[in-house]
Amino acid sequence: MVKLVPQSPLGDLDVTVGTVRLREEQIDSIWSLSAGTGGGSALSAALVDQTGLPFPDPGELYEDGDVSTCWTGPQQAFLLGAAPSGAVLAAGVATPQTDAWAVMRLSGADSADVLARLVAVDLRPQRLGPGHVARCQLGHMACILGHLEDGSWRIMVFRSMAKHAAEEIRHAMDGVAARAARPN
Amino acid sequence: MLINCPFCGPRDLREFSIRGADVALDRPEGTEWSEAWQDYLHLRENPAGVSQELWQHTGGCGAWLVVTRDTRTHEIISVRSAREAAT
Repeated sequence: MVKLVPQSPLGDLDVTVGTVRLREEQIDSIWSLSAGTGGGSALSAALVDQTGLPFPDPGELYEDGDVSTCWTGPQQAFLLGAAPSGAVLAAGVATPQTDAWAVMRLSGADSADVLARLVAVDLRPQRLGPGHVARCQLGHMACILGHLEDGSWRIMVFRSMAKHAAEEIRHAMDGVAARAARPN
Repeated sequence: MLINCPFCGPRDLREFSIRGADVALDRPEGTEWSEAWQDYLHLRENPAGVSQELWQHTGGCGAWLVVTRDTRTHEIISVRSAREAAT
């Protein structure tokens, strides 16, 4: 029997330009959760039982180690880094999405400046500080932009857009670094 | 032009798609053909002024929104979730 080896969407991308580092983040489990018609409280309670993290309200993101929950739309959230327990599956509607997304991590002092070239959302800490997430467009691509507790950004795009998204971010990183290196 | 999505906050117009007048919120009863169905399918007010429309936040959270805006000035008067407006 042939053993198939999964390939990551970005082939372990890891580039640093200036102060900013862009790398692929390997998340072995991504699930979309919806409360469905059952109401959100039972689902949230089941999630807390399993992970210690609640079903997030709009714009919120919770982390505990490798596991996180993140809001992705009205009555919809992603569970990352863990597969939902039986109780979670019973309380809501869940679909596996692991292979559907390319996940990148952008970190470094100028990372918000890089993002500002690509997304039309307010990136200031008072609007999108750590622990918050925005559904927005990265260039013309739908993306989930999460601000993590360590100050870095998690950028999720559809897997089919992976290389294009990485190239766009890389281009923005070059621009920000070139601008910083230029004498005033 | 900014639309204040109730889930995402104020976002640029380019993230939104318009569906048109919000007639879908007031669908006629029954399945028999009637004047009400005729109006529902074909007649629109199209006022120069305040109009109520359905928009979707396609470049963001995907929510359907009821947007009240003035077509003369592009002023956005109110934005609310269509899910709430329909209940």
